[in-house]
Amino acid sequence: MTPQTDTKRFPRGGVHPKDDFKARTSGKPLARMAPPAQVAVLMAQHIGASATPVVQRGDKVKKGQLVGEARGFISANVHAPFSGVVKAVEPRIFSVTGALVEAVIIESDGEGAWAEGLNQPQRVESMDAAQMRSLVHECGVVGLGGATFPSHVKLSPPAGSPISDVIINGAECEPYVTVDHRLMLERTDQIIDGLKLIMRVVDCETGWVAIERNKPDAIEAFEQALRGEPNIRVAPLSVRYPQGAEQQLITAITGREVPSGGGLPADVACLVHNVATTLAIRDAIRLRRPLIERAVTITGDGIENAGNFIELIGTNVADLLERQGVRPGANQVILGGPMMGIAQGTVDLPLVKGNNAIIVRRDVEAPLPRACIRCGRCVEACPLGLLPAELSITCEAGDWEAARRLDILECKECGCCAYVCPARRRIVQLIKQGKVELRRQKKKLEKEK
Amino acid sequence: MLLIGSIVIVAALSMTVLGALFGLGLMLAARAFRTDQDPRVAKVLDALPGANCGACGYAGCRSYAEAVAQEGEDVGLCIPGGPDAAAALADIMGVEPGEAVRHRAVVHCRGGRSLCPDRFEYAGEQNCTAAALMAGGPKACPFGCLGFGSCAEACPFGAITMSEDRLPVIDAEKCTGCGICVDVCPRNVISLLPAHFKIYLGCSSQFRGKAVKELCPMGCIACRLCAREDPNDAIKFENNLPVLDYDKAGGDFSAAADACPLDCFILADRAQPVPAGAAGSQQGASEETQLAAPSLDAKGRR
Repeated sequence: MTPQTDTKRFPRGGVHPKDDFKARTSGKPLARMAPPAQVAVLMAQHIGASATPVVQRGDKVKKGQLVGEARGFISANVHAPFSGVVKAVEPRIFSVTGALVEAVIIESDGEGAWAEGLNQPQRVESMDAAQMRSLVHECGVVGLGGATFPSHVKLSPPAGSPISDVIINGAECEPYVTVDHRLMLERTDQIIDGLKLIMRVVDCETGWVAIERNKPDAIEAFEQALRGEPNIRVAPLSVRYPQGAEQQLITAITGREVPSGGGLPADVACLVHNVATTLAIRDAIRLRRPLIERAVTITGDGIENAGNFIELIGTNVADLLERQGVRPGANQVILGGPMMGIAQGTVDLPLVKGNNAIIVRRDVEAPLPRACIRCGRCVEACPLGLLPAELSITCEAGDWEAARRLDILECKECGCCAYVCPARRRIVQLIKQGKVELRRQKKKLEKEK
Repeated sequence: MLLIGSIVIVAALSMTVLGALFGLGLMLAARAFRTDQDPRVAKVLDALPGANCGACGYAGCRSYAEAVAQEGEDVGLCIPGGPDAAAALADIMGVEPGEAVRHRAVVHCRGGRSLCPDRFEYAGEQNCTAAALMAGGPKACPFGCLGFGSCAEACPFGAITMSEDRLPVIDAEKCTGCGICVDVCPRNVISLLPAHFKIYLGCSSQFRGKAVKELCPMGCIACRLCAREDPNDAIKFENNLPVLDYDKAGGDFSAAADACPLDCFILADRAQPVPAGAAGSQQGASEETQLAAPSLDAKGRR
């Protein structure tokens, strides 16, 4: 079969954010810098239950050794990114929630050896799906696109939901971020290897590599590498945010719509993994290599030397910024992309598995929000067909029940609505607040019962 | 003229007849579809404060009144009404009132803006829940009051005002102990205390020692002097905070309060946050001191 070249896109909403920044780092190869002297490995840096620390102060740990054990199925292991001594087990700030989370602080001893049995070629050909899954679980792989959902859970679709399409998400629709782009150029074959392994685990015949059209070199690289692979196709995507959102991607490629009300991709026979996650899964299965590092774009107009880097999980963000140089006037640091990333209150926090970018901006002024003028632009922009204007108004009024009826819980917080709002309303923050309030109400009702 | 006169008469007559017919219909309907209302519902409703705060667990006073009168719900659930309402309801229902303890909300934080400043410039929605979602909230201390006054806004009794230093001040007279502020606070710095206990801790920081001092001069550093000095052995430390066992101590923690080097214990009768060193004079501060303290309504800030 010839590679399919017609551009795909999701049917409804979306925006085209201005992006002068991808070009700044997309040509810079992933660089590995000197490791830090100390790391703080958070026990909760994934969706699901936090891990339990299994080391104590004073313990010696090897590179890749388990330091936090997954608690339950929807949880993930965390590992020591280098060999050293545990200095403390104490709370550190988790950049996604701003909350304090238990962390294992490790000081490097400069030795480079992996813990026994790790980073060794595995006998993959004789493995069955369960063995591969357990390696992914063991290595603490989570979704590296930012959502950090434990990958072994995704690789275990519920019985009776066969997977027909595995989609590798290389859309990278967030402005600024270029790590997936670099990975796709630099580790093309390994990504395809990872995709094939995933297809083996979930027993699926069709694979896709979905890439936005603004990365023609990556599309080209995959089309080259996939010659003679009839089961795997490259799906070029139109450049539109949030093209890389799981639901939108599935609809764009297969035309199927993930059911609302907590539907999963498996409900429409799809499985989506981000490019970086696919590599981590591949490294876990092929090499039994725990997830101890990730690719990070450090960029923004407040950064002197922007680029793409491989960084150890647990590295202090302040150190990274110092290394890359912060320009005067910098006043905002975002972890993640500018659309869904989270502005930070401090940079003294450890890098976590979900951080694909550190963006430093300068002279950022927060506009004052005004009353909704009901122009309806947010409604046009919402890829889910929600009514963001109404949601923001009901949340502002504290009418959580009305917000629930407007399907606030369906919102994925992609930020298109706030991006287009001419009244500069903080629609996403209001929606986030509404969700918290509804959760609180629900908890209270449960408690009273 | 005659024509107009007859129209008026016909109109008046027909309206009268119609009115009489409808009235008859309504009367018959009222007879036919009569439902017996429990008179006790109305009586119970009368005895309740009518704030519809929901603290009893029902949607409002009427729902609770119906539950009491018709389903035999416990008469002591109305928190704002307190023992008085419980007694009145028990009287109506002919049951024993049970033991209702009056509660009051207290704030476990003394670090206002001037003492515990913000660690970053926050430009989001001006309420505590939204602020807490943004990098954990701007307040330097991750456990302290965020100061946006969501509690004051939520209080159905107007018992909470925000001080100039942006800490909630609870008017002990107006506070009914309904607990809405406790639910609203994302930092859990407010709790309910039985109103006859007069002392509580003015800090929620789970840090200790230097980590506390770096953030706030008013914080409990978990030195544990209070636990050591308390003659009743009623203070246990959990998460670097003293947990006061009121029943064991009979509510008397004066020795512990005296021992605290940071004066972290607040005397309930003067719920104003007191700067360190000035808390030496105890008890007896009157209601006036509280009211005279500069305060700003939460809504007035916007």
